[in-house]
Amino acid sequence: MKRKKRFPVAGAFLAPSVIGVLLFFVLPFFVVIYYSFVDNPISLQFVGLENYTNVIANTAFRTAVKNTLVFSVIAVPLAVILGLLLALLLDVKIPFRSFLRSSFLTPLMVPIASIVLIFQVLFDYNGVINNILANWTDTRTDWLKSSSGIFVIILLFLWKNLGYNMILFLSALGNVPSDIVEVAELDGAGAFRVFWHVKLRYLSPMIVFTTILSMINSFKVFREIYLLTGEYPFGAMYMLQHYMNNTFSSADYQKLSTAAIYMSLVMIVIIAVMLVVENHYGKDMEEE
Amino acid sequence: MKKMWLRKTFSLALVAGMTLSLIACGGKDNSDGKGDSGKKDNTTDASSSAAHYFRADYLGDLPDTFRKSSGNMTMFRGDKIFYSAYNDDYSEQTVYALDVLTGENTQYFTTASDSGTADIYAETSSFNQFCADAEGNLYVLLNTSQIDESTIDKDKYANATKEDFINYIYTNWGYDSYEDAEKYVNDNESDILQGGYSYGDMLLRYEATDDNYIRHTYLAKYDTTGAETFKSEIVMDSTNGYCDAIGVDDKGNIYVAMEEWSDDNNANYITALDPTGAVLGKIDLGTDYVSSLLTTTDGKCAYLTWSADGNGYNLAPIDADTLSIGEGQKIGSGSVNNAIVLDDHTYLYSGDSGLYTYDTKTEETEKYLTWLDCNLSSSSVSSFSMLSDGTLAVYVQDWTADGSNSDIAILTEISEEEAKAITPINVACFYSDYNMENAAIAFNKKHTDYHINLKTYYDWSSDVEYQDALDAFMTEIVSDSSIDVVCFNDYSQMLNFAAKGLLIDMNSVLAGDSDLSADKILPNIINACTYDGKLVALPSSFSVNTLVGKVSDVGTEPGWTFADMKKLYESKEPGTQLLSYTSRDDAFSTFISLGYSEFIDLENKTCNFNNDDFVNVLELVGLFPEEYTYDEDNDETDLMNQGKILLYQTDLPNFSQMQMLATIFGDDLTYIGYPTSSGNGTMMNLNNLTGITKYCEHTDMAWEFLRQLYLPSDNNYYDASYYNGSILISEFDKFFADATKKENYEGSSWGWGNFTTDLHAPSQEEVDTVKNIILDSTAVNGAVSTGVLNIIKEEASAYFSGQKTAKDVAAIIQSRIEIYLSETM
Repeated sequence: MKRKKRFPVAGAFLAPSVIGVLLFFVLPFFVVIYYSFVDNPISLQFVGLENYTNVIANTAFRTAVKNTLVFSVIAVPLAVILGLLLALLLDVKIPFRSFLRSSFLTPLMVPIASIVLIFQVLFDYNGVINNILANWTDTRTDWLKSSSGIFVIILLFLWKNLGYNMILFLSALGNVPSDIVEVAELDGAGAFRVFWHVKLRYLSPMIVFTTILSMINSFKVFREIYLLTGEYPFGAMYMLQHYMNNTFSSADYQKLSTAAIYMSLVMIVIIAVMLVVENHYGKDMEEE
Repeated sequence: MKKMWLRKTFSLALVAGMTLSLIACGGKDNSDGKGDSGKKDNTTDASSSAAHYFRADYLGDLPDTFRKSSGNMTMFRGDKIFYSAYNDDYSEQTVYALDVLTGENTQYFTTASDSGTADIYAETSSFNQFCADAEGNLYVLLNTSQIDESTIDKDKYANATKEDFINYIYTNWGYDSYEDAEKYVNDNESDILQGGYSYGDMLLRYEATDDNYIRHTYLAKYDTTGAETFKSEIVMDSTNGYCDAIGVDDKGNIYVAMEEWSDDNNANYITALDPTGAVLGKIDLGTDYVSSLLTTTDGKCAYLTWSADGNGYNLAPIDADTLSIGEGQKIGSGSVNNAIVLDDHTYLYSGDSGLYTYDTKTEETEKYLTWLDCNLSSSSVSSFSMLSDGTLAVYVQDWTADGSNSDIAILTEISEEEAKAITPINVACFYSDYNMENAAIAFNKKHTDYHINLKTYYDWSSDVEYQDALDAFMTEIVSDSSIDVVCFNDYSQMLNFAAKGLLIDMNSVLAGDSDLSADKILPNIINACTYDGKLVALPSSFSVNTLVGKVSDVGTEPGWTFADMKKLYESKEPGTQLLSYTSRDDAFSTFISLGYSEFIDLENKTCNFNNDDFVNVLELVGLFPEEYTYDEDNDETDLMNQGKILLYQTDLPNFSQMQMLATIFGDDLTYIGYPTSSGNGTMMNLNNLTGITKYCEHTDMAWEFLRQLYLPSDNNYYDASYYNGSILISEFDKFFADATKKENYEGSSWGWGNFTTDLHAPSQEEVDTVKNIILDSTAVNGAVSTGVLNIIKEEASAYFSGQKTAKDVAAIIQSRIEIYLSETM
């Protein structure tokens, strides 16, 4: 009875959030699905799966998917592994530990435009890197307009995201029960065995979380590439977000919506797999 | 308990506020007409905030004198329009007043022009400004001129013969031969001896200088019966002066705005006179040029001038008592052609495309009406006024008529409901030209149930940036379902729009047309406008552009590749130019825009830059100077004649220019075209490329409007002599049939630089050659979007600056353009 009385008040308090979510998340989601099945947003004629077959057959889309996958497959594991290694390194008592922790976080505070400017200065055809390499070789690499571009973007991605991942892992390491670590050490386990059999188990939820976060960030690397090379970069740097941005600019909303649906499906599958893995490891840890 | 109640109230208020703010986010503010892009309203300008709807009625039945009047010599005062008109032989100029409401036409004042008398020593007068006061009195600024006989040797001219006159012309006018001067005099004899002058009179007039003339400037007042009330001299400091405007205040003081110029000084000033014509004095305006003089609501006279800060017009009151200028206030933004005072803080003025109101209190400009919505072309409107019955009277001049034909349009405001009863046909046009506007006006005058709303996005004279206008145009044409017809800015837009399936197949409307059909239109135009088997658009006219060179340089057959072009260039001495005064950037843009077909397959969305041909282009363009400098010692034509300029860009057909170019190059010519992998290298420019959208509910009416652009009529202004040709086969054939008529060329010559050629009718063979070149044209200018061009130019700059090799650049361009093209598949 009391709960029933409080429902209108609770509902009133919840209403702004519910309306906001419905209006800005749920509704656009269904609009995107709807647009992916019509010929264009004005005539709205149902075309079945035509947009899906057209988009999947589109060379630009396929190039974007391939490049995005290659980038994610390389960049995401590197971001997770290097982030973890850095966290482990800074978890032990080494000189300048606090300074180093702060240093790795500075890229998060620098505006993306400044980061891009720095990378342009470094990797331009006449940039710092090529000028240094000129001491040993006559061949200049066009870092931002060749297949090497993907490595520049990976580097930029790591530089931007490593610090954040490191902080996440440091917090997770802080939550590893010290008594279990001490028991393991008393039992004669070395540092590697402690890490592998104890710490890693406790870190597994955070690894899954960091991986999902890095993956989402890897799909958002468009901003950096766009600022570095514009709407139509060299082929190897053309990502899914380029395709979506450009189809938006040319008002091909049905292509944009279809590509977004494809991307969402892939993300859902990947995240689902990771949650299953995390769930499995989590149970495993609880059982132990 | 009280605290709890307060907390709950505050929380609920917060929740309500947040919820309302959410609702506000999703709402549309239609109060200013901007929120509803799909609304088919009767105003074509999205910036229009006031919803005014007007019906335009022409008075039509007006005196002949009014029909012949000139637009720049008119002024409204009350319900009357004061205008000046010449008589049939232009010997007299008269000012009339026409009461717009009653139709009463009153003659005020007549003056004889300088050609109106056979007495060469008689005083002549003319006027260029007049105004009227509220009582209907007329004020005219008269310029009189008379040869001072005491300064002239009359005997020298008394017995001058035609031969003396021809000798004078030959000696002083730069004719090459006496025969040419004689021919000129014979051809123009009737004009030269107009008004009864003799050859001696004409010689005297030509030889007389300023020192031989006595000139005066007067302000004369005429009452409503045409009687002169006074005539006061306006004394100028220099011999060169001009009256910009005349104004009268409520006290009867008169203001004459003058500008004078001499070698070392320009002066703007206002001479003030009291109601009796006595000069009160001069008011110096410094650099302020007086655009017009208005009477404000407080009865004062004020002058309108472009503000010193370059940001709109200022209106400054004049005080006759103190001979000073009061504080100016801004009225309007952009151009203000003329203005009337609505109340003490609101002005109605004519701007670029219609009437605007400006509120001096809020400093806001609002569009009041768009000329086109009232079936008026902005180029035909010269002045307007609000009549005592609340309607607007607009002086319009129809330039399409034989000579000029002036009329008055009465604009009556109608209700929104009445306006909405008229079905709009919305035409989105990046910028509209004379043909498009006239077609809209002609359609609207003919149909009372439908109205062409011509919405333009870019105007050369407006402040809107080109790219912003283009973005707005592109966004609206793909997202606004109320647009019935689209006039594309370039060919690539049409391809893009057609690829989205947003245009109807115009064969369906052509099928129901008794005068037009696809087989009556030039096949290459039909092919260029066919996308995926559908005729998606048609241009109102077209022209063909090509490159021409000497047979000895380029051979006899049209069509070549960039490798051929480079080979020719390299075979010549250093310093030879491929095209005259062409910088590297210009050459690159031209070659890529016009020779794109060698590298881009628009149909299959593929490109082929990664090859030796494109490397050839880069290397060829690299040979052009980064910036060109004009050769002051040698004329362009001399360089072409000497073989130092190899090619020339020209439009076809232009038989006169073809003959001129043959003379200049001193050799037979070949219209070789732009480098291409196929075809003859000529490039078609499609003008007013227009299609009907699939959302159009009244395709019959949309077609009724469009067909006017294609059919020959008075509204279509084709300069068929050499460009902007009709797309109809019948008109095309007619042009070429007329081209061989000798009378079109007989006795004509053309001079260019140091060369002159006597024009002659082309032979049938020459005509057929050009005709076939045009009929064989397939490539269309503008097919490559600016996006592609920008990528190519951006990357190529690295080659031109020596940073990268041509092959490296070609590989990057290939990669980027490939993505660009494949995205649009």
